[in-house]
Order: sequence, then structure tokens, then C-alpha cells
Amino acid sequence: MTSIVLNVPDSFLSLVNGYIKAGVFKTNEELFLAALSEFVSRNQLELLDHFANEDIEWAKKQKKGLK
Amino acid sequence: MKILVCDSGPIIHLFEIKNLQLLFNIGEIFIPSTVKMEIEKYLDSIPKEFKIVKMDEGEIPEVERIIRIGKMHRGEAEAIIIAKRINAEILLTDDTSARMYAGLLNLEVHGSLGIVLWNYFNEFLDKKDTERILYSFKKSSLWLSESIFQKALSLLE
Repeated sequence: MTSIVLNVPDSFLSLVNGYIKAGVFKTNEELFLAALSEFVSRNQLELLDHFANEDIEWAKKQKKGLK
Repeated sequence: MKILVCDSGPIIHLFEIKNLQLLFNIGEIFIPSTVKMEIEKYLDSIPKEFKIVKMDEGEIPEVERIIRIGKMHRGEAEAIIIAKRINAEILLTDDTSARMYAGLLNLEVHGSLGIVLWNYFNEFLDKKDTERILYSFKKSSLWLSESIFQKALSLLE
């Protein structure tokens, strides 16, 4: 598992801590993952294209015998 | 032989286009028991090539956490956890949330389009059959944008 460091305004951090204290999220990690899910929901079509392109590149590597 | 874990999406999409066997050309396919239950609604019988895996008791809280936070279905969450447990080379899913989350866990993830093109480039499918399959996807429940569809067609020689 990799840890990441995020620089956020103090006001944002107190908001996050407020959510955790209220039991909306258990940890900072949970909040980050929830934000990621929201990003996925809002960018569904772009992500589908992005992942389809990844599939195409992967398949092309098979042709070249790279993997 | 590659070890892969698959959720319901690619199984249903490949079944819809009558090419489920393409999955088994890539490697050994493990599916969570929840996925087995989901695909039983579509398939007349479960192919014997599928290796059914049950969740361990200790994995349930993590599955519940992924479902709650990641907005995923149980089958997708279980597939991610099993892929990590058995060190699968590839997770197969067409779900964007599952793909994004699995990527964060350093899993290699591919979907139905990748499965079809893998079969083409590994000569399990010829150009004509691959074209036919790509056109069949347009009538299936798998969403492919027109630009991706055209790009995939242009790869075929």
C-alpha cells in the first residue's frame, strides 16, 4: 500500500475532521476513496474511453510480443 | 498459464455476443461465488472452466467497505479482493469504479474489448471474426464510443 501526502487548506482539513467526528467517514482514506467514486460517477464516459484505450494498447503489445 | 479473476461484466458481454470461450484462451479464470450467482441469471449453465472462489470470513469487512465507499456491486468488490489474495496477473472487469479502485491497488485490469483484441493478436481470431465481434458489441450492453470502435477496427490487418 502506498501513502500519499496532500497539501490542503486548514479550513478543508477541519471540514474533513468534522465529517470524521460526525461519523460520515471513518478515516481520511475513506473520504479520499469516496471522492474518487464521485469523480468516476461524474466522468464515466471519459473514463470508459480511457480504459478502452488502455485495453487497445495492451492488446497491441501482445502483437509486438512485448508482454 | 495466466491467472485471471473476472467479475460479471465481461462474462455477460461476451455471452451476449456468443463468444464466452474467448475468456478461456487467455488463462485460468477465477470468479467469486457472488459472480457465479449473478451470471446464473444469464447463462443456461456455468462453464466448467470457471474456478469458483469463496470469500474468507476475514475478507468480508473489506468487501463491505469497498461496496460502501467505492459504489460497487458485491461481485466487483469480491473480484478485487480475490485478485489480490491469489496474486492474479489480471483482473477482468468493465466497471469503471472497479477498474479505478483495482488500479490503485496495483492490479492490472482489462475489459471485454481487451479480451477480444488479445484473442485477435494471439491469433485465436482472424480479422473477419474480430470485425464481426466488434460490430456485435454495438448490439450488446457493453458501451463503446464510436471513436474507440473505429480505433479498434483500424487495428485489424
